[in-house]
Amino acid sequence: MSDDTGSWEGLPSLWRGTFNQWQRGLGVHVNIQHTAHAIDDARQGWLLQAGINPFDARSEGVGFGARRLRIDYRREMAAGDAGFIVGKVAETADGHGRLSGRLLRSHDNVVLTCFETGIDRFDVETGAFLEPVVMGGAEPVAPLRAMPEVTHPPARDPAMRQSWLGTVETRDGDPSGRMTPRALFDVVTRGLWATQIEAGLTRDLVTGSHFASGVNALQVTQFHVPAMGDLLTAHTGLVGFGKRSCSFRHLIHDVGNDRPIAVVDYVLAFFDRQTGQPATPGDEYRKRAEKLLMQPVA
Amino acid sequence: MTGMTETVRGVVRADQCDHFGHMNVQFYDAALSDGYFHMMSLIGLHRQAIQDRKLGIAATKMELNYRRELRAGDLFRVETGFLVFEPGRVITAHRMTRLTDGKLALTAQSIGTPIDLALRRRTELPDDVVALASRFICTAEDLAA
Repeated sequence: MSDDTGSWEGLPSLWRGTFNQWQRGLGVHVNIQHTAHAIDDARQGWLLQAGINPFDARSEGVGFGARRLRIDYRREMAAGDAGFIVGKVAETADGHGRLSGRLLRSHDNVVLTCFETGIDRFDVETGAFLEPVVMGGAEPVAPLRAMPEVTHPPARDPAMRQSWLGTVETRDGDPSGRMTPRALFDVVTRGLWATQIEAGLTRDLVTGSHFASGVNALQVTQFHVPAMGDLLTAHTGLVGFGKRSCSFRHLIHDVGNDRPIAVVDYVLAFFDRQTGQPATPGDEYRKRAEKLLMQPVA
Repeated sequence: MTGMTETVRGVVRADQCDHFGHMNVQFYDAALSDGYFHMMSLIGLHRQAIQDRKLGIAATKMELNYRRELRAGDLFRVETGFLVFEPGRVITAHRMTRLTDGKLALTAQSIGTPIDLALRRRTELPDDVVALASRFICTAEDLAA
């Protein structure tokens, strides 16, 4: 239970649970929105351990989210897997004082997922981010996979196409009616599947040929926390297409209020579901997907 | 013997609450179910082992005592242990704590019967599982503490 920069042993758990059948996605493994939900719980668990009661803060009009969240998915999670999250304050690519965490499988302490997140206050009335929570005593940790630097909302590339349109539903809201990270990841998932299916990676292909894809690195840069009833849209483009992986970008925008919500970058790996080994997509899928290729992202 | 151990830690979601303004009973049971599977993984019956050994433990009776309400945004923890763990019968104990103030929110007990998942019939638990479970034997006093 360690990585190359130090031990994670002995840290108190920030989240603990079991993944269920209903949390599986079309790709059979546990969908990324449920990892995002566990990480959000871990953020709140860390706050409580640090002496900040998120329940009381919310009643005073302050919620907690993250301007930046990075996740590396190391191993596939399946329904029935039990795990727990530990974390520590770390020095990361995003700067000093971020919560760096590991999701480990309970019975053998294998690392399933690594993540780094800020913890930022937001105004529950407006959804605007406020000052971040100051986290002292940062220590170095192994860097996660490098992702594009996003400092401000990027313009929509002409190659991007709309991949989702919908409102923030009641089930998507936190106790104060603001959209949860899980719900944002739900939009990301739907947008990704819409894009992939249009490009030819259909459910039939996935089940028939054993060819599958899985997110192995992801970064969310959030600018505003939407509210229940807000109409959101996602536009998706292809950043790059390699032999065994590709990179997508979503822009999530609040249509009614005309403001950017989030930029989501992720790396998708192709693999053979039967062998678990990396796989190469066929020419037809590649040709269709490459129509989404955007201008180079910095 | 270590007794009860943490098997769930999380936050009550808004969509788990009913029009009484607190977590609906179905989600207490869901949390205990997650805790139960978590405990299974600690005694050698993790997902892959269940598939390979075709062995499960089916609940035949359950009793829940609700002590305090949980509301959206509350952090909570479930600890799980065994009052009895024998080859043919298991009595599991759960204790749920509201972490935002440290108060006991629920206690529960369930009776389980080992089941052969291929034959769908009652079976007996093997020695290695019984041995691993012995680490988590607890008492009725632990449950109410």
